[in-house]
Formats: sequence, C-alpha cells, structure tokens
Amino acid sequence: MTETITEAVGTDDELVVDQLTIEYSSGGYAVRPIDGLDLHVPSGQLVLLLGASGCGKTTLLSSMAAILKPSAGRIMLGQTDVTALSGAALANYRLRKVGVIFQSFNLLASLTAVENVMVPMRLAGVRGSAARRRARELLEHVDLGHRLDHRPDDMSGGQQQRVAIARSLANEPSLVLADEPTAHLDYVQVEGVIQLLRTLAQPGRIVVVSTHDERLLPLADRVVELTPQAAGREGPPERVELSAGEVLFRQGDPAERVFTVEAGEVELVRERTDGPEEVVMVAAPGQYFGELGPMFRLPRSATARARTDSTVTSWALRDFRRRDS
Amino acid sequence: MWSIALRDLQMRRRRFITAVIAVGLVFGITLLLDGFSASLRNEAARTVATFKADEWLVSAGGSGPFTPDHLISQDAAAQVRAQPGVRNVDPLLVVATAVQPKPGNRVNVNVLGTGDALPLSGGRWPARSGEVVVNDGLNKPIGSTISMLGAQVRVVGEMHGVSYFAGTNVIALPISALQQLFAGGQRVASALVVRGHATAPSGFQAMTNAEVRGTLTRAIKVAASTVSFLDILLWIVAAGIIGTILYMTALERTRDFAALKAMGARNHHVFVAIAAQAVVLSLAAGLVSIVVSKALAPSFPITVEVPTRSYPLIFVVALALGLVGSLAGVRRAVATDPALAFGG
Ligand SMILES: Nc1ncnc2c1ncn2[C@@H]1O[C@H](COP(=O)(O)OP(=O)(O)OP(=O)(O)O)[C@@H](O)[C@H]1O
Ligand SMILES: [Mg+2]
Repeated sequence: MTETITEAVGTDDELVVDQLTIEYSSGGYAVRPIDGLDLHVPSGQLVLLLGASGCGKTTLLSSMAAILKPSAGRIMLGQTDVTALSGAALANYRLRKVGVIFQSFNLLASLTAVENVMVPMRLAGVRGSAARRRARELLEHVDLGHRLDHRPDDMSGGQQQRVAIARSLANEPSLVLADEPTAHLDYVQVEGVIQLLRTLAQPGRIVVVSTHDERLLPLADRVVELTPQAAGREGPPERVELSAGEVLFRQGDPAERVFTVEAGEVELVRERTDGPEEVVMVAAPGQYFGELGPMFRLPRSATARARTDSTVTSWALRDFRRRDS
Repeated sequence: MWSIALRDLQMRRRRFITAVIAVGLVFGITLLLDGFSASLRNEAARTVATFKADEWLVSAGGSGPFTPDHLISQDAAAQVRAQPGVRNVDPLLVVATAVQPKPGNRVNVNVLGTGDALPLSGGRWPARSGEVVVNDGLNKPIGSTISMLGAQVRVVGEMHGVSYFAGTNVIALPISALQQLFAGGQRVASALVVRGHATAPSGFQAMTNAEVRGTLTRAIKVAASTVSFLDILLWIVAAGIIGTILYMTALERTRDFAALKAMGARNHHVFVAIAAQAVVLSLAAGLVSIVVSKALAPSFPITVEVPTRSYPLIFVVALALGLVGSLAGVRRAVATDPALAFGG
C-alpha cells in the first residue's frame, strides 16, 4: 500500500461560497433549496453537508462540481471562480480540479475497475500505460488490489463505491465531493468508507460530503446544516383569487405561507398511492390552513384546491401570528 | 474514448452482431443489384462485340440493328463491299419471337440470322436449314429441338453470354435459313455489319458500336433506374438500422454520458464514443455484405456481375451511412445533461 498515492498534491486552495442562491422552477413554483449560503473552507478540511431529503445537498454539490449554475452568488476554489466557468476551462475544472463520488457511483458497466479509474486520466491526456499504473495504485490504496479486472456488476456496493473513490482521485483534484456516500451501503461497509473519506482530507485537498446519516458526524471538521428553504417565506399579506378547481399548492411542495379563507371554500386533499385521494378538511370563510409546513419547515402534507371560486389571503408565518393582535 | 466505445460494443455484442448481419444483408442486396445493373450493361456490350463490327449500316430513319423497324435489302451488302476501305460486310436479320424451351414455359427470344458464324462455346455452327445455335441461358442442350417461327429446329451449338434486353436469349442461324422461316425466302436484312469504314449509300445511315449499344441499353433504362432507386431505398434502410441501434444505445448510455461529462469529457469525446461504434458496425456490415453477395449471386436467374470497384465502394458508402445514421444518437448523447449523474 502506497501512502503517497492519495496524498494531496494540489495547491492549498480554499473553498469559498459567497451568497449562493439556487432556484429551480418546479411546476411553476420557485423552489430555492439553497438561499444565500455563505461558507469558507480552508484547505485540508472535511465538510459535512447535513440535512433531510430535499434540503438541497445534491444541488449544492453539483454547483461546486460546476455542473449546475447558481441563480446568484459565487463559488471560488482558490483563484478559480467556479460559477463563471465555460467551455474548455469548465471541462478542465471538472476534469482536474474536482473529483466527484456520485451517489449511485456511475461506474461504466462495460469497463473493469482499472479501466474505470483510468477514464479521467485518459480524458486528461495521460498515456495509457501511465494511467493504468496509477489506476492500479489507486485501487490498491482503497484495498481493491484483488478486484482490478472485475466489472462493476461483479462487485459489491462497497467495492463499487471504492472504485468510484479511486476514480475521483485520478487527476489529483483539490476538491473531492461525495454525495450520500453511505446511502447504498450496509453498516459493515459504511465504516470502511468513513475511514477512507477521512484520510482523503489532507492539506491540499478539501472533501465535501453530503449526508443525512448522523453516523458521519464525528468524521467532520465542519458540519453545515442545510434546512429546507422556500421562496416567498417573507413578504406582505396578499390576496389570491382562485377559480373553482384551481390548485393553490400541492402535497410535497415546500411550505411557505399560511392562508386564510375570505370567500368560497378550499379543500385540503391528501393523495394516496393506494387509492382515491382523501379530503382532510374543507376550509370555509374565516378558517385558516397550511400553518404546519412553515412552522415546522416541512413540505406540504396535502394539496389545497379551491372547491368554489374563492378568495384567500396568503400570510408570512410571522404576519399570520400577529394578525389578530 | 475509442476503448470505451469498443468495450461498450463488446458488452452489447449480441445486439451489434444482429445489426451487423441485418445491415450486411441489406448492403449485400445492394451489391447484387449493382451486379444486376452491371450485367444489363455488360450483356449489351458483349452482344454488340460478338459481331466484331467497326460500323453498322441501317435503314435511314431506322432506330438500330437490334431494334429493327425497317427492313433493308441484303443485296446492298455487295454494293457496300465494293467500297474502298471496306474489308467485309455481313447482313444481319433480327426477329423477335417467343419459344417454349420447356412445355408450358414461353419465353421471348431474339433470333439473329447472320452472314458469318458467331463465336460458340460448344457444338458447331449450323450447316443446313433446320439447325440453330442457342445462348446457354436458354437451357436447351445440344441435340434438343425447339419449335420456332412455325418450324421444328435442332440445337447444334451453344453460345455464352449472348443476350440483350435484360437476359433475353439469342438464337442464331445463317441468315438464309432465317429468311426462309421468317420472310418466305425474301432477301431481307435488318442491318449490315461492316468491318472497315464505309460511306452510307443513299437510304442508309451508319451507326457506331457505341450508338448500337445505346439502342440496347435504352430499352432497359427503366430497369436500370429502378435498380438505382432500390439501391437508394436500401441505403436508407441500412442507415435506419444503424441509426436505430445507435440511438437506442445512446439512450441506454445516457447515465454514462452524463457521468463522463460531469467528469470533464468534451463534446468531441462523446461524439467519438458513439461514432466509433458506427464505424465498427458499418465496416463489419461491409464485410458481411461481400460474403452475402458472393453466396447469393449464383442463385440469381440472371448473371450477376458485381463490378470490382463496388467492393471498396461499399465500405465508403457503409461508413458514410453509418456516420449519418449515428447522428441522432450523437446529438442525443452530446445533449446529455451532466446533472443527471447526480441522480440517486
Ligand atoms: N432539476 C430540478 N428541478 C426542479 N426542482 C429540483 C430539481 N432538482 C432538485 N429539485 C428540488 O430541489 C430541492 C433540493 O433537491 P436536492 O436533490 O438538492 O436535495 P437533497 O438534499 O440532495 O435530497 P436527497 O436527500 O433526496 O438527495 C428538492 O425540493 C427538489 O425537489
Ligand atoms: Mg441528494
């Protein structure tokens, strides 16, 4: 086992995330999983992005990998403005500066372990024999010396993960990103992967790991908690006119506002996977609904649909609480 | 990228082998069709060359020796023969009719009455009336008899490859015998076959060998252009097969391409990863097509003479069609969103 092989040789680049905002449009609604995020990571640290499903972990990682353009803000790795890259510079960043361990590994099924690890090096123009030698060393480092010529289908999840880790290190990146590295592993495999990830964070290399797995907490130099955010959480009360049958929000949407009914009727229905939807509540004038989501930062648990032509007022949570006082 | 393409091909070999065979068959058929249209051209050239003519004299206003629409008098031959610069003149009488080589099977034939013996591949030239030589394509062996123009004639010799109008066989006999059968012994002819150079007497026009060949190929122009049209259709089919296979493969490899792009692969890498498969597929299909055409050619009812240049050409066409066919797959692959690689 060669200790030098995964020793970072990159520059001591810092990772700086500055007022990063990423907005998706989801069925016409703005979903803003990352909203004004600031982060400063010195070289050599392991950062854990912790948060429940849907809070934007993958979103953040893919913008660090220069795969997703943020709506606002910047990501700097050393002197490189990751968010401004394009063309050859963009490809070069993805190839040499960052290594990604994808949640589902994304090994090429037709290639052996060694060949998979060689891919980034071959893309970077490393000659075949040199690439093969280094790929072997990397695989030996992740204890896969006995699986060099196996294909992904012949390997366990943990082994595939380690091939993916070896591949992410192929071009000596100064930033390694791992998306939910323990999601597809059983607990025996998790331990090995945790230890391996820990060894990757060394001077010259930053490791960012996303997870909702609290077992990883002791591993981190730094924990960033991401909580689901939604656009429009703030803002003054607004009147909303609904025609009969119109949907106000859908089950699973990020919850932003609380609603009071002024006129008409709004029904709250829960979609069931095993049968017809069930009506949870019908809100009549004077009644309110949709307060739990914003309060507990949970997604909508039901769909709100106008039963008749209706008028509702939409409130920010704070304004809603103060409304009667 | 080549190795990724080849490894992927290896993994999906069953599909690719099926495609190679299918495309190879299609290309094989285009080769056979090429051979067919080449033989249409060749048989006309061969038949004209059989006469070793330098020039042909036909009736002024007539369309050609093998498309006889005017009869001339055989006696004009003596007059032309007397011209300086003329070495030899033979009359030729052409009659189109039908015979029954086997009971219940009527076929068209062109009966040629000639002044001089034609080259034979077997047997002998007729020595008396009631004897003929036939082209081997008619499948009438020496010694058999045929009923022709109201008489029973005996086959005494065989010619090889003398046919025109898409394999219509030739029966030949001395002109005097044909005049007897066809014109009650009148000394009529369709053309004069000239060796040397003649001045056309009044009432005659001279035609070169090329012009005579033209009158033969004109008749089969529709067949030849039908063949070219089929060729194009078959090419579209081949490109379609290649395109479908590669598009399906590109769809299945979406995640691979997303991951490759996320790892920094450029568009040209992605292009090569698909196009390389198209190249391998088409070249292999080219090889198969040659085997197919060699294997099937003998069982065709007409001689199929695949021109030698068609063999290298089929690889060029295959390669071009392969690349065109792979375009949809390439576009699809290049457009892959690398963000897909982050999916769980
Ligand atoms: N392409 C997209 N279009 C619209 N909305 C999206 C898109 N990708 C993600 N989202 C939304 O953005 C939010 C954050 O998604 P993300 O995948 O980053 O979460 P995550 O923390 O990685 O969750 P998980 O634990 O499920 O992987 C979710 O609400 C998701 O529905
Ligand atoms: Mg995720």
